[in-house]
Amino acid sequence: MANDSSKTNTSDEVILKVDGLKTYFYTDDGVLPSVDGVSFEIKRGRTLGLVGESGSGKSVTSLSVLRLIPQPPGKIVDGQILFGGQDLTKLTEAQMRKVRGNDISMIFQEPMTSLNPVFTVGNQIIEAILLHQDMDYAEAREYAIDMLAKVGIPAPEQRIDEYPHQMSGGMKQRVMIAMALSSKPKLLIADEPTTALDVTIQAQILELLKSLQGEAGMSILFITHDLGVVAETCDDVAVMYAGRIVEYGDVYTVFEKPAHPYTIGLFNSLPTIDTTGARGREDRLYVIPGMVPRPQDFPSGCRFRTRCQFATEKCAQLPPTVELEPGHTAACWYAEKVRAGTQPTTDGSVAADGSVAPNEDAAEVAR
Amino acid sequence: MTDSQTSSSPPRPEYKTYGQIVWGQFKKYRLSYYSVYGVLALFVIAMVAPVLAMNVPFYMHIPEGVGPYTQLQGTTSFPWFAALFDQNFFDSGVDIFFNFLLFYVPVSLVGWTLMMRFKKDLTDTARSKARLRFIGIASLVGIVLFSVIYLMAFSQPYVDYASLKELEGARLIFPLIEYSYRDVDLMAVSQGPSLEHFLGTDRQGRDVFTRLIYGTRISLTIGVVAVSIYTAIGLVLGSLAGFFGGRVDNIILRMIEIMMCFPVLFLILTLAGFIEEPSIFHIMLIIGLTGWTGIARLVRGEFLRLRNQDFVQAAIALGFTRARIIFRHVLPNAVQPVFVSATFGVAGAILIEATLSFLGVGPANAPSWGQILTSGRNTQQMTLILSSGFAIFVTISLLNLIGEGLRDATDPKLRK
Repeated sequence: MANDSSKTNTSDEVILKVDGLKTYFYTDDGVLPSVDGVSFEIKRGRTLGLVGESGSGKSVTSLSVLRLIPQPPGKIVDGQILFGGQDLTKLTEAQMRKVRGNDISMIFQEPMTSLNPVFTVGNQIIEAILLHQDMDYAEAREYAIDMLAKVGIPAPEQRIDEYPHQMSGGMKQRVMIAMALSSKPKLLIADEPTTALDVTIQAQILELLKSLQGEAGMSILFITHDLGVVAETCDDVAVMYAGRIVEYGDVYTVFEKPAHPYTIGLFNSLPTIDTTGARGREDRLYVIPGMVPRPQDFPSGCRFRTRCQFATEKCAQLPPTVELEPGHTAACWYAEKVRAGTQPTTDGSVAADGSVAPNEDAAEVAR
Repeated sequence: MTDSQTSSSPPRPEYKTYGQIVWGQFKKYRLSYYSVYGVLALFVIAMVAPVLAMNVPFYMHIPEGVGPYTQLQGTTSFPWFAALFDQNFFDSGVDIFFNFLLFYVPVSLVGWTLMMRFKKDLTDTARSKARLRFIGIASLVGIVLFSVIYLMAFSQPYVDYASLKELEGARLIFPLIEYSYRDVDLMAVSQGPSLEHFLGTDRQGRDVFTRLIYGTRISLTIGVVAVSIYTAIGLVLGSLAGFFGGRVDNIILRMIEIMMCFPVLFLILTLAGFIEEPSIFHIMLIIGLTGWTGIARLVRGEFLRLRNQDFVQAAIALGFTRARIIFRHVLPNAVQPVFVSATFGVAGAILIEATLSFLGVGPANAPSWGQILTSGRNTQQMTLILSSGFAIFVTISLLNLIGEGLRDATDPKLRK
């Protein structure tokens, strides 16, 4: 493992490389390809945002990295997850346990239920520390108090002996972060860590994650459906739709010049405060028509084509992944044209209502 | 980061632990609350049984040249204390255990009180921590001491102390009732109540009141141990079934269903029939091995609910082993309904033992209440039937009342 180099904030060293990951669920309704050929990589000290609607497979992707998929029915059928030179898909359960919570930590969406209600928070942090660190109980307790102080919990010496129900949601999420970071992981997987929190707490938690990341030089895989959060925290972004990554690239490039119709749809779905524009307050908020199809109903070829305004017959074939700029890829037959705003929609109007234009202002709002 | 929390925060409300909430609720069920004291009283009776009834004197002085036992002549002794751990007097582990408690519990209590006398300035949390540690150390020392005493197998030569009482110049101080539960007196068979024998004697001339007192030990032990055995089995099997699901769940569920096919009482009767001379340990084991299905299903249900909770996933993501997650993280969340079930279970086990004894397949030598009942039925003695029946009735009622109070106290919908 490459932990010899001094901890710089960012480098080109790839911490995690996911290659062609396929996680299928074998259910009574047939085989559900929840994650179907997902590839991305995270460099040291950088943050990758995994964005998508509910059901797009972003959580399954993150759970697959830690091999937390319930088995059966789930199974990683293909692909590699390279972490520090090891393929995580090939490790035994015992080897995997050494990675979990140690090299790769995870924080979950629901801080309210992620802590065990019958033990004090100190108990739980200390247990995690004792598992991965060579410390005795007294040292572990000291360290736990330090960690709680670091994540901004006031009076940690008292708080450590409290039960989860005595804490607010934001507090609990801080405890979860303290627990996850206590082992100084190389990679932190944050599965919608702020969705269950209110907006001011959200901002604090994001701020906290950022500052801790800078300190420790760890990488973060950030899963969210909130484009605003992505703009705020991520260096790279991967947009997922129906189990595939449809657009992938540097956060600035993707936000400025989105190339996949789905990404554009997502940006257009953001509410704006701008009352003068075509999508002003009086206007209805743009929605992507239809819903994410259920995995058993995924269409052939491009999976977005049933909801896409640009779709043609060609889209029934699997679209290639086009590299538009170095590091910016999109899986669409018409990526170039969509990006340039010249691809005609199926109803013939090219961006007539402004809703399909490649959007500078949407990107600005998001930022 | 805003420091809104760090700035002088208002005093936070006192939080109660779950145990405190349940205990507070439980106290409101007055009848159940007093039943706890009733059961405690039964335990105390079981513990002090030798003080109440035993055929060995606390204090004995025999003058020189008197009596048939030459080695006792001219001596002053305290045979009662030696007899407590004497395996000629008390041949079962149960009796030795309760005799041991008779010394150990008061000593521990005095020790704790003295300790608190010296350390007055303790906070409540430090106090409860100290208490926990004290209980831990005391139980450990107790178990070791008890094992040593039990394995050393004290025994003394047999002395007929009752005959010494009549001797000239001899001074003996006996317990309240001068009989042991095994003293056969063929001169006083099937007597009615008298000053000598408060509840009369049975067919072999044994004092019924004494047997009733010692029967408390048998009943309580059978109840607690049998339930502990089947709770342990049920917890483990239920946890595994609920946590792993799938094939494991299937196998364990089939086991449960097969067990539940048989009427429990007949199953127990059959099993007991195989043992030539059942002791109370056999009875405990049989009840323990047949009764676990209810607990297993309860725990399985709780695990099915809990295993998809986020904290289980979080524990896996932190790299804990499966066994640790099941037994340390999930199980404490799943045991609450088991307590209620176990309380009822103790009552049930006592009743099963009484039934077995009544039917004649119970422990052969133990002074169990069911046996008194059946011997009363055989000799048509109302005192035997009524006294043992009353003892069973009171014990079962107290335990069921506690169980009901506990069930209502743990049910948030019935909160008063």
